[in-house]
Amino acid sequence: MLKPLIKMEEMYKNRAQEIAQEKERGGKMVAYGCSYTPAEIIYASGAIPFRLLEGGEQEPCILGEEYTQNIYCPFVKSFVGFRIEGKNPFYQMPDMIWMTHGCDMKKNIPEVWYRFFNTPTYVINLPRTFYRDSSLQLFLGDLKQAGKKLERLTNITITDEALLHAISVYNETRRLLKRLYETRTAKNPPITGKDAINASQLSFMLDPEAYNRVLKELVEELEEMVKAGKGVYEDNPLRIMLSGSICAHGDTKLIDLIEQDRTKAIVTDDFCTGARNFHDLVVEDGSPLEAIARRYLTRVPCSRMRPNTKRFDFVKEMIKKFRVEGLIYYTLKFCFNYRTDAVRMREEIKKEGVYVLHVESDYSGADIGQLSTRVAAFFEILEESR
Amino acid sequence: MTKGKVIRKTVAESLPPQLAGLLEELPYLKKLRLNMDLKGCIKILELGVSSPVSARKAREEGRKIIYAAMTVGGEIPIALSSPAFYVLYLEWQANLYWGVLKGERDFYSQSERYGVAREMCAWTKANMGSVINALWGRPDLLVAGCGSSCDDASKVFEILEWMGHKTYYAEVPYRRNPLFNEVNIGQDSAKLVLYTPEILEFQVQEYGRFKALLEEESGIKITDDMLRQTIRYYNRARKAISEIIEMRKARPTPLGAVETFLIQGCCNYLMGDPAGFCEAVETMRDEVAEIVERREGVIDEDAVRITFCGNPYLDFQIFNQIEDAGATILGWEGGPVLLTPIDEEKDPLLALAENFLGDYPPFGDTEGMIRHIISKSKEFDCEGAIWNVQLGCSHSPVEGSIIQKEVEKALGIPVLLTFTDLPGDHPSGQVTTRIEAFVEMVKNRRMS
Repeated sequence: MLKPLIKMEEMYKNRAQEIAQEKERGGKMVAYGCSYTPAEIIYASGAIPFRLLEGGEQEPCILGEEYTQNIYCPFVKSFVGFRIEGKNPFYQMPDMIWMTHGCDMKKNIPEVWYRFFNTPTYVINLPRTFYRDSSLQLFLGDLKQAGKKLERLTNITITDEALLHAISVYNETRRLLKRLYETRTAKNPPITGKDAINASQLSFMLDPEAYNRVLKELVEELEEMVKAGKGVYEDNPLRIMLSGSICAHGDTKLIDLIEQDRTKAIVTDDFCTGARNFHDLVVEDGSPLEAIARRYLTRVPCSRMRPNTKRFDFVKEMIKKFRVEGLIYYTLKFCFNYRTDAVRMREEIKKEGVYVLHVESDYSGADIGQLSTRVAAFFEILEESR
Repeated sequence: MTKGKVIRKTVAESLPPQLAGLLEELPYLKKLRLNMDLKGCIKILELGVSSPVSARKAREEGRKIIYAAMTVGGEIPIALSSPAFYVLYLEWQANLYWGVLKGERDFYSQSERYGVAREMCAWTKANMGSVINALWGRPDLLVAGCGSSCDDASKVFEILEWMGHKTYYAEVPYRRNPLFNEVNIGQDSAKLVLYTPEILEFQVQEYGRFKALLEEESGIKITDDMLRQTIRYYNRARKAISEIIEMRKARPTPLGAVETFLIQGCCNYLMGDPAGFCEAVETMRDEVAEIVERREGVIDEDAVRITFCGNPYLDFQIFNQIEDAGATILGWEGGPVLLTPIDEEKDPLLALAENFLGDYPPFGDTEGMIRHIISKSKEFDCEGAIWNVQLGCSHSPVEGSIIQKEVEKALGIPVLLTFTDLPGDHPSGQVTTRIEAFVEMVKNRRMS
């Protein structure tokens, strides 16, 4: 494994202790669950922004059913379940939870934290008609309110200078992650899909400036590998794109299945924890708060936006750029937004001459056999069509 | 002691001649027990089930058809103000039309072919089936509430748009616990402001946008006078319904839950016929007043008094089941229960926005819903609450667990959480058992 990747893992392992120490010194941790949450504002307030992003484990899902239901998205159940389980320190530490009403299932989870776990929360008013100017003003107004709440929490006034600094840090993250992903356009990518997605997920959890330093090292190393023609896969791997519901940190069941023998390469994705995380920059022009609002609202949309046509265009763009041969559309069970898009995704991407496999799963290991069969059959089709 | 009992028959048993043909394909509606002696009730049913006929007539008159879903604010009143449109609210129509949607032609399951998951909200699947099959005429415009209204509903409309249906997305702002609004910091609870000036301005602007779209579609300007006329219809209907609800405090309860729920729900869109709907509910009000005078009722005086809450409701049978178990539903929360009068003097779009933002509790956190449940339970002296939602609703399960805890804490009354399924798929035996046990438990509490 590359040294910067090992370093990132160590930073992640030490992160809980780091945050605990910061809290002892009076620092505050503001956790969030949705990529539409402007972390820049949290950062500018002096608080520690942290996206609660864990998934892939069955036990927290079961525990989370106490406040949700069995026919419920496993990620959302975990969001509550990890807190109940008590093993993951990040879920015990938030001084405040920010959430958007991103989807129906997520919508009331901040209230569970507020009423049952006594954690102050704020739900950001996130319009779905993201292309309208009135929606931008509504969102901006809400972020101003949210900012006031943060200022009361941290006793630090959020200044334009602080926001501009936060923007530059997070834009740097986005630029670096974009460069990282671009190394995967190589014939034999220098980093696995698993490691690339993991690196992107860690951007939500580690200290942004420290993370950027290590990320830069990683990117430079990867770019050198590309120049030298070095890759981590077998020769001429099948080029696969992943799309679909949130890919949580730790939800690697499908990813491991695809890349297990290194003859298939996950070359890109459109996850909110992956490529959609960094595709759009904050345009540093005019009021920084408005620039942040504009970036978050009008970026490549999540399936919850109405309509989310721009997401399909983005997927097509990625298919061309990364020379994708097959798309695996992965939805979590009971994720209705992404699930409902499955037929449309297949129809739209078929027009690009690319096959689509739709798989639906959760955080249990019970369906690994079925998934394996379906994925293997899909790869056979792709191999034959080469 | 009940002086006289109002006998409620199933719709099928006492089918008025004008409904016979219309109800042929609606077995679930025919099974419901209503007071079929109420002319107002018959008229409401007639308005609902004759929608295909009304839609055809509207088309022949050159009017355009609008199907709306998840819009309980100003969009429908604005559309009803224009002579150019015939407006239906899909979910409520679906509630009446399950027989067709789930019958031989199975319009309901067709949505699965287009990506809608089997376990998804039944209403959304019904909505899709209605549109694809033009159940009440081919729609010229779909109006989908989105924003903080349900994902599932607007998602299905997005797919319909992709399939070629013209769609307008009506943004609904998120309702936050008023204590979280900056304007309320330091205020006492009686003076809580439920929305910020920015949200109000936003809502007015959105209604203006929608009005402009309709004017462009039709070439007919929607004037303030036209809007005020529609507002007056809404206020007439709301006044009559509020009076009926007030009269339901009489012991014994003079009007059943199905009838009450029907008029409250359909009040949202005046069933596409503002004058007809108002006349029907006013007739019903007068008829209920006579029942009260005669000291008659549909259920025993000592029936357990319940607040009914949750959202959405698919199968009206549950109301018959609750009453059969010995309870009467007096407090209501959930669904379109906007009954506050709309200001008739102010700028109409502003009046509609203030009314919607100020009253309608869902589409946000549970604080508003909890507040309504508590106030209705106190007003009607309720002894318990039944929260009911349909399987597949993605946001309600979490709301239910919160509501149960908070209402039990605030009022000391038990709250039963129930999930039900579609008419026909509904495990009514299980639900009945749970309701009966709950009612028995509440009755036993009276003795302690």
